[in-house]
Amino acid sequence: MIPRERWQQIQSLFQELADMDGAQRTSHLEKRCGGDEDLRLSVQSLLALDVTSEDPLLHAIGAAADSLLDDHRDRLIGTRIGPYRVVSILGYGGMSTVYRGERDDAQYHQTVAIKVLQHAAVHPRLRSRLHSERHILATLDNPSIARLIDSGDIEDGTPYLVMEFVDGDPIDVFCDSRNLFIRERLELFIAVCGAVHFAHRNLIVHRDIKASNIFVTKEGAPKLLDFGIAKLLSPESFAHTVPVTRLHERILTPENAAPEQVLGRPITTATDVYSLGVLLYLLLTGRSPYRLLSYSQLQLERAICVDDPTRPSQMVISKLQGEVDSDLNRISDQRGLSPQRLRTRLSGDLDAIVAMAMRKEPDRRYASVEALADDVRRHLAGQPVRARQGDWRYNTAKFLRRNLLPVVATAALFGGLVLIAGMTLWQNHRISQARDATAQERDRAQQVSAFMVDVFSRADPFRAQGKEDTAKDLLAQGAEKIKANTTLQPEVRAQLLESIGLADRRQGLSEIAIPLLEQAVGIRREARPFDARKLAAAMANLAEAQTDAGRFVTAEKNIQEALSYLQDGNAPTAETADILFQYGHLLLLAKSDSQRATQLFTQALSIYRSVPGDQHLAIATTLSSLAAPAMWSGDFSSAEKYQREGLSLLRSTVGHNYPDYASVLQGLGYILTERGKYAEAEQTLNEALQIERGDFGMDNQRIAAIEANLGTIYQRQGNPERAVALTMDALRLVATRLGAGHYLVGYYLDALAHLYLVNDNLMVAESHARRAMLIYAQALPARHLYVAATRHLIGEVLLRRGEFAAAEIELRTALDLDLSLVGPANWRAARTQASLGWLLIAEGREAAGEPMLVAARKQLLASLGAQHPETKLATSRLAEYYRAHHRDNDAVKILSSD
Amino acid sequence: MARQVPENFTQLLTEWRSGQPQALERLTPLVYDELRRLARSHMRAERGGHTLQATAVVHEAFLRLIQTDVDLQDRVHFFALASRLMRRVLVDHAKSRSRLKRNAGVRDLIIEEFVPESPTGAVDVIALDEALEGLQQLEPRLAQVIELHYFGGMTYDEIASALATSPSTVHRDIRLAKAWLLREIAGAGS
Repeated sequence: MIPRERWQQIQSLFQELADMDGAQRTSHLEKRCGGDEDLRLSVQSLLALDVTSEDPLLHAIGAAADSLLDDHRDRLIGTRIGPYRVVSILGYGGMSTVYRGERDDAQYHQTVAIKVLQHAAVHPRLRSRLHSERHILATLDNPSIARLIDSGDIEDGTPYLVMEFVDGDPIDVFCDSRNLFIRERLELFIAVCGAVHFAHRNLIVHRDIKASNIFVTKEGAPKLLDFGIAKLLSPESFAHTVPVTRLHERILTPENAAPEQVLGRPITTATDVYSLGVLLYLLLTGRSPYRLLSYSQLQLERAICVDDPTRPSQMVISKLQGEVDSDLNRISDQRGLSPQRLRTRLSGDLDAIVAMAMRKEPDRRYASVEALADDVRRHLAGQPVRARQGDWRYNTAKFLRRNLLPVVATAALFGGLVLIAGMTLWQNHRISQARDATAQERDRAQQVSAFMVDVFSRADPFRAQGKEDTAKDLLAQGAEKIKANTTLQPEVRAQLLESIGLADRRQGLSEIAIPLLEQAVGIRREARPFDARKLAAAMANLAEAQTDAGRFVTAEKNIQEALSYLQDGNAPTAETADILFQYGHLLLLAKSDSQRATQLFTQALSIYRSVPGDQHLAIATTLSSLAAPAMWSGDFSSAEKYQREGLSLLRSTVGHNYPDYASVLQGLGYILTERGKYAEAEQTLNEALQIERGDFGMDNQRIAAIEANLGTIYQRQGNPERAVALTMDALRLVATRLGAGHYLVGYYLDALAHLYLVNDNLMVAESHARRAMLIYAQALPARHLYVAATRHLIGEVLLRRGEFAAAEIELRTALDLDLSLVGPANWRAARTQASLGWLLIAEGREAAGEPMLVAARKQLLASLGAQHPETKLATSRLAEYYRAHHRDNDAVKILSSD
Repeated sequence: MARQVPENFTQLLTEWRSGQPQALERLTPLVYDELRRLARSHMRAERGGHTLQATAVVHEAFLRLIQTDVDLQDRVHFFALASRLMRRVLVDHAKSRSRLKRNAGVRDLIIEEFVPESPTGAVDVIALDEALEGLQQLEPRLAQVIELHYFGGMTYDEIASALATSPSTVHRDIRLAKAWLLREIAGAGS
């Protein structure tokens, strides 16, 4: 027995030296031990045994558990099951052992596989179901599916199934032992899909597709085992035993389980699509998707529901714990490539196909196994694959490098857009960032991640994405937990606060987000060593939330400060451009300052174009943002040009189903509407709507913007009922999502008021417009274009009602705002002036009114064209004036001149 | 006949802990059954990965046994007990195997099959158990960490929160303890 003091010496020396490298270690050890040779040897021998690559202790326990499990398996050998003699063990799985059985009687010789279920695993009530459903399974007659021959109970009541015996190897072993190329593996995979598809057409779901259930004969023909068996074993019909149900589900090889299986959700054909994705992953990379981090069972299940797996192309160049280069070489050798070549081979199409098959949400995967197989075929034929066209999540993850600026703020101007990306995405982003980071950072990222997983795994992640209540509750719990946990490192705490704040903001809870983000900024300010970039990013995040909440003054201050931290003399980076971009939007929104916004966007654009890396999305987004100030200052043709440029860039890089693509379409649709190109506008907006509905579900703000825009078109085409219905719907969406006090609610109230105005329902128009004003008074600065627009509207209502004095006040206030915000050479000012001119004429102040109306109409004609309703209105008013003064020739002239 | 997850597992565990040896007799078959039910295919799936999965299987066995409404504090306590239990079950089984093995002539063939294919430096669970006894005398905390991690399948994070320490401390403890155990085992064998 080592004396106590000696042990403590050994212990502290070991821990001190454990992380040093060889030479450093030796010299330190010498120094610390002085002449105490015994101590030195003792510590040295311990350090020599401190190897991380292999764990003999785990092995010892694994072997002991193995041996324990083996013990009862052989008891059936030599006995009879039905007409079959049990010859040997073929294999075993979680719930059963498979024996080789032989039948030798007068008629014929037959070899079968007999699956004997674990006695205890089968609930008595399941047994009857098992016996009834085997008839259905027996009808699955396909050369690629191992047939179910018979079933029954052995004497002690244990059920068994007799199946066709397949002489071959599991598919992964088959591929690896023959060093099949990727192409050959894919062809085999397509054949497997064919068999699964056949079963699906017969309404049978496999539920447990994995390599060990798919054998390949020597001739290279795949055979699927165990079709539908898993379903027979799942006691899902017993609702009162939910936890037990889950536990039984868990028996299914967890690494292959789909999220819905982990969560005890309904199992459909989409579950098999997922499992086929996992299988494809394994065939391509030699590994299971969730193997990079050492997960416990529970963590693995959470990962399946929350994390996105490492991409296949990344997996083949990543070492698992304790692996060396030769392990990677082995995997790539078996595929006839070097690791780097293999990575290249998998990146792109195959990454995307696997990701699409393995999506968390069943309804977002390939619609069928056939569709999955088709995509693999397309890849083999060198055609573009579907997975890459629609895979915005995948691309978004990449794009979130921009430190989670709103992916598109563009549409905020047209109607407000906040991209609600899942927490998942964010987290995954953090972890993948961490892979390249130092061990310490990685450790932190994992702490953050573990914390988030802990918070979010409490609820069903699928619901959390769709339903605000759940997500809001979770976020609140998360914030509470951060507050309560006093042991968090500052860096970890800041990251957690930022992530929760961000999620809050994305849910439209910016008032809740702000204090959290402020705390994070506070921590970053105090952090030593001081990290200017992190502080800048944190401040930009805070500013974004403040902008959402309409606190424009503090938001601007924070953005300016953030920018000041980034002016460190080095060449500007994409992060700087991100903040400039954000600033541009703030200036538009808060100050309607289109000139400075244009400058900032242009500056951001040139940075994006100069920095390395894939900036297509950023460039496209910025181009599209440039359209906004152009439009505000009445330059519709530039605006249209920017949108089209952005659109074509997006089309050629990320494809159609990307949310930004829909936003840009919407922006273009708005411009086309204003330019009177209604047919193209309607088509464009409908395309955007289709993308939004397909990808994001019914309930989001971008849909509101598109609907209101379509409403405008229908109004102008003489369908006021439809216009009102669409705008009301937009209003409802926004009010539900953002709360009744949000400025966008005011914006759609204004739109609605406008519809009532042009339909001559002055009372309703006024009431909506005044409600909009009440909201703006709280949510927007007083000097804002939206305010100007609504005041003009109220002025028009009053004017038409004959309340000239009140109307004049409104219109002059609106004009004042228009002139100071966008200048005189602008359709906004012109529109207001046209109203004011008409008012003056109506009051009998014709000398002032007529020239004003004439000039305004001229400007409207130049800005909006003759066919725009505002121009038409001004024209018809002027014509009426001419007629009243018997200047019929002038009237005819302006009415006929287009 | 078919049996549901026993309701009284936690109860038995507590009895065993409070010094009622007969509880172990009733516990052992439960653990045994649970282990047996679990996917062994994981453990053999790949050479490198198999041992990683072994602890997962052990962990899983307990999760399945534990009553779902046990609260966190009890869970920690429970895992400590369960880790101890797992150690006992595995070691007892290994001992009975090795007694059998020494009895020459008894079903040699089958027994051979169960002798683990030992890579060099392989450790068996009996030697590990004995070395762990020694560590228990020297530094009980280290022995407990090893037990929780290896026999209970608990992660560093879980152990850290159970023992109110940090995961990095747990990690360092495990490194030291493991090196010490390996040295003891090697020393005992030579």
